[in-house]
Amino acid sequence: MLSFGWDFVWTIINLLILYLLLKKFLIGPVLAVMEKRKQTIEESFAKAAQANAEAEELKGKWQTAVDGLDEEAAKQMTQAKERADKEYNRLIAQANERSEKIIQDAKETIDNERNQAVKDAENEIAMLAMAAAAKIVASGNSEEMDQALYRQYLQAGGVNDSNGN
Amino acid sequence: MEELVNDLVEELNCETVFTIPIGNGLPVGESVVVTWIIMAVLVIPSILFVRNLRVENPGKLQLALETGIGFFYDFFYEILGEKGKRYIPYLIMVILYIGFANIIGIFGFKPPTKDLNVTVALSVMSIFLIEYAHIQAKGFKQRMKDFAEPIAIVAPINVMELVIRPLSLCMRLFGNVLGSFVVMELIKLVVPLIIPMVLSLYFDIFDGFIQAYVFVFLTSLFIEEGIEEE
Amino acid sequence: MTTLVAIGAGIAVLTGIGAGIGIGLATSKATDAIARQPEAAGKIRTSLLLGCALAEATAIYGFVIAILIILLLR
Repeated sequence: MLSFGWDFVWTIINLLILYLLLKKFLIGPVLAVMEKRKQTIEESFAKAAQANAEAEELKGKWQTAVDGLDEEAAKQMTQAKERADKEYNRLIAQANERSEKIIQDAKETIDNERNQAVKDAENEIAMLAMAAAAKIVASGNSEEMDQALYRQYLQAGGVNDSNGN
Repeated sequence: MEELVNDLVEELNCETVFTIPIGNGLPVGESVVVTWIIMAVLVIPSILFVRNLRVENPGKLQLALETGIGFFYDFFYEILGEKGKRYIPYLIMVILYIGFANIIGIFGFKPPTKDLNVTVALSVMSIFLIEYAHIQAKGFKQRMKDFAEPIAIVAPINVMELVIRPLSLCMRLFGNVLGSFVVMELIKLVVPLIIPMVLSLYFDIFDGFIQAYVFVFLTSLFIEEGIEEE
Repeated sequence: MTTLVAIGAGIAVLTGIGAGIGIGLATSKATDAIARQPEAAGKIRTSLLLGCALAEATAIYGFVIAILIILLLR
C-alpha cells in the first residue's frame, strides 16, 4: 500500500497513453461530431435567415410593383374618365349645337313660312283690293260701299294677322 | 482481530505481479495491471463503437455517447470557460478513469485508487497540469509574481500550496477508497449477508463517483484559478 | 504497546468531529439557501458538494493517520 516506486512511473505512463487513446478514439471524434452538428445547425439557421430576408426583399419588390400597378390603373382610370368626360362633353356640345341648329332651322322655316304667309296675305290683299277696286270701278259704288268694303278688308286682314302669329 | 488486520494488510499491499527484466528488474504492481484492464475496458469499446459517427440521424449509441461526453464537456466548460477548453479532454479522461477505478472493486479486482502510487501519480499530473495551464496563460514571469498574491508575505504559503494541493487531492482520493474498503471489511466481518451488499452501493459506487467528481472538480477549479482573467 | 497504539489511532480519528461539524454547518446553510432560492438549487448543490468534500478531507486525513498508526506501529 505504501511502497512507493516504479508503479508511480508506470501509472503516469499508463495515464498519458490512456489520455492519448481516449482523445483519439472517444472524446475527439464525439466532440468533433457535436461541433459539426452545431455548425450545421448554425449554418442552416443562417441559411433560413438569409432565405427569409430574400423572401422579404422579393415581397417588398412585388409590393412596390403591385403598388405601381395600382397607381397605373388609377392613372388609366382617370385618363379614361377624362377621355370619357371629354367625349361626353363633346357629344353634349354637339347635340346642343345640333338641337340649336334644328331649332334655328325650325325658326327660320317658321319665319320663312310666316313671311311667305304674310306675302301671300299681302298678295291676296292686293288681289282683294284690286278686285274690290275693280268691283267699285265696275259698279261705281258709293261712299257707303267703300266703307263696307274697307271694313271687310280690315276684318280679313285681322283674321290673317291673328293666324300668322 | 489479528486475522482481520492481516487480511487488511494483505488487501492493502500492492503485490508485484511480474518484473520486467531490464537492469535489476522493473517491478510491475497489481494496480498497474488493473489500470491496463480499465484502459482496455475504456479504449476497446471506443475503437469498436465510436466510428461512423454521423452528423445527421445519429444512432441510439451515438446519442448516448454524445449525451455522456456532452454532459462532462458542459460541466467542465462551465468552470474553465473558453480559455481552458483544451484541458477538457484530459479531465474527462481522469473522471472516467477514477470512476472506473473506484467501482472496479465490484468485479473482483483491487481498485487501483487504493494504491498510493496511482493517486500520487494522478495528483502529480494534476498539479503539473495546473501549473502548466497557469504559466501557459500568464507567462512564467507573471506566474512567479502570482506567488506574492495578494500580498508578498503569503508567498511561502503559496509555494507550499504547490505541495499541499496535490497532497490533499491524493490523500482525499486514497483515504476515501481505503476508508470505504476498511469499513466494508468490518461490516462484512460483523454481518456477512445482504447488508454489505446494500452498503456497498453507497461505499463503492456512490462514494467512488463522488470522489472522482470531486477530484476533477477541484483540479478544474485550480486550473481556472490559474488561467482566469484578472 | 497495543493499547497505546489503539489510543493513538482513536485520537487521530477524532478529526472526524471537525468534519462532522463542518459538513453539518455547510448542509444546514445549503438547505437554508435552497429554501430561500429554489431556482439556484443546482449551483448551491455544487458548492455544497465541494465544501463537503473539503471538510470531509480532514476526517479522511485523520482516518489515514489512524490506519498508518495501526499498521506501522503494530
